[in-house]
Formats: sequence, C-alpha cells, structure tokens
Amino acid sequence: MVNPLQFNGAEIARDHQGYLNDLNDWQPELALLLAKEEQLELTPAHWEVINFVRDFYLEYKTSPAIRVLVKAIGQALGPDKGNSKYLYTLFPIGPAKQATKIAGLPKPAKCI
Amino acid sequence: MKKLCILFRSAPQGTVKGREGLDLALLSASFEQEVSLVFVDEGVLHLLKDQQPELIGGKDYISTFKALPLYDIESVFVCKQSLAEYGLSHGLLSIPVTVVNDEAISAHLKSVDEVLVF
Amino acid sequence: MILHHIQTSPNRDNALKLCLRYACKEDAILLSSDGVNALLLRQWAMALSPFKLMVLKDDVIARGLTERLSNVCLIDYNEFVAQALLHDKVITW
Repeated sequence: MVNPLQFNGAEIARDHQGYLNDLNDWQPELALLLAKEEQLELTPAHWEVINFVRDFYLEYKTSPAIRVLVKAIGQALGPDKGNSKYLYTLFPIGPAKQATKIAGLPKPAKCI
Repeated sequence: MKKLCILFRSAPQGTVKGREGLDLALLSASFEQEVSLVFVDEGVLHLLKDQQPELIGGKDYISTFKALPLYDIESVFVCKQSLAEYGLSHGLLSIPVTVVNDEAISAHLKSVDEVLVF
Repeated sequence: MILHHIQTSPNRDNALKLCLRYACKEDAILLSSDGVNALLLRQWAMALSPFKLMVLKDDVIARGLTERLSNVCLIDYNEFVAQALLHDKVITW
C-alpha cells in the first residue's frame, strides 16, 4: 500500500501503485520526493529522461512503454542514450515505470 | 508475427470504440505484431486536426495517433470515398496517411491475417 | 475468402453498408441478431443478392420471420463455427 504523499502542506492523491492521479499536481520539487521513494538520487542524466517522458506525455497524451521510450529518446538525444542499457542504469527497476512515476504521469499500459 | 488490421468506422467522440481500437493497435505493435490502421466512414473524423476531447469530458487519445511511427505502425490508410462524403481534404488531417480507394481497402482486408472493427 | 458478420440493423448502423462496400464477390456474409432484418427491405436484399448469404436460424425463428425468409440459407451455431473455420478470416462489422 502506498503512503499518502504530503507536499507543501497538502496531500497529493495517488493510485495504489504510487502514480499521481493528476499530472497537474506535479512540480520538480515533488519529483525529488517521488525519487526518494524509489531510492534514486536524481542526477542531470535522470532529469533529462524525466523531462523527456513528461514532454512525451504532454504531446502524445500517453505514457511511453519501454520500447517506445528507447526509440523516442534515441531519435531526440542520440543512440548513446536511446538504448535500454543506459536507461536501466539510471532507473534499475524499469525506466518506463520509474521515470513516468517520478515525472507525475500515469503508468504506461505495457510496462516492463 | 501476425498481420493485424484495426479498422476504425465509428466517430471519435461519443463512444470509446476509437480509443479501444488505438489501445489494441499500440499494444499489438508493442508485442511485435505487424499492425495497420484503416479509417472508413465516420471513423475518418479521428484524423481531424485541432480536436479538444477534454472539453467535453473525454480523454485526448487523438493526440496519441501522432505517436504511431514510434510504435512502428507505418501503414495508415484512409478511404477516399469516406473523406469525400464528410467533405474532408488531406490538408485537414493531423497525421500522415495514405488515401486509398475502395478496391485498395478490399485488397488490404484480404491480405492481412485478422481484421478488428471499432 | 472472408466471412463478413453483421449483427446490427441497417436502420441503426452502417455495418452492412460498409461491409458491402469492401466485400469481394467471393466473400460470404452472415447475418445475425437485428442484422437479419435487412433481408426484409428490398434495397438491402438486392444488395446482398450477389453474395453467398447465411442467416443464423435462431435469430430468424425468434423474430417470427421463418416464412418470410424461407428461401435463405439458415445455419445453426455449429454451422456458424464450421463456416468461420472454412473461411480465411471473419470480420465482425
């Protein structure tokens, strides 16, 4: 069960897996809290992916599954970053799963 | 790998059919199936630019059609006659599509393994 | 060879119209549920005439249409399954 998330004196609503119910509740400072739950220390490389998936969602209105995330990042940021090895190094439990959660997005439909 | 054709014949707002069809298409493509989309009749309205489904309480799955190339869904066909019936021109459409006649659609339906209608 | 399956009345839905637009002459058409009502209307009966046509028997009997539709090929559920396997695919419109 996911604990309620307290942020700036307000309680942020989440689903049972810890994804925000409303992506408009998200702010970069909130990402730090979400990352802490995932036991991740956010580096600029993490932020690049988090911002990428957030922009992806705002454009396509869907959270990218891993295969699509790899392809889209490859097109935008080059093959060094558009591969699952690099992304799993940053987000060991699953890049699509963890990056979308920290970015305040719904869970991808097919999520590895 | 199966050749799967998802055919959209229902209008975008008002029912969830289009969204279900798109979800199935993306999911099937993620499982490495060869997916093609065909838009006919009122289904062609999915392709109109500048839709704002959220205004009437719907989810904006229309924007997700722009992501088709990222899912390796390259075959997107639209019925020429249906476009004409609804007075739509190529320039009003939001994504790149191939406009085809009835015979080409018949041939495509014949060539794939499964056709699912939404 | 495709088996096109129509379940809705042509007065409520475009399924039959679209099926006829894209069907090839070697395809077969199966009517069930309110789809069987199409055969009572001259324009649709005519449009269907070039195709191999089947109608689900129980839907005809249930609607009291057995006599009206005495010259069409009525099939039961087992024959429906057999036909589905006989054709390359079924498209349910």
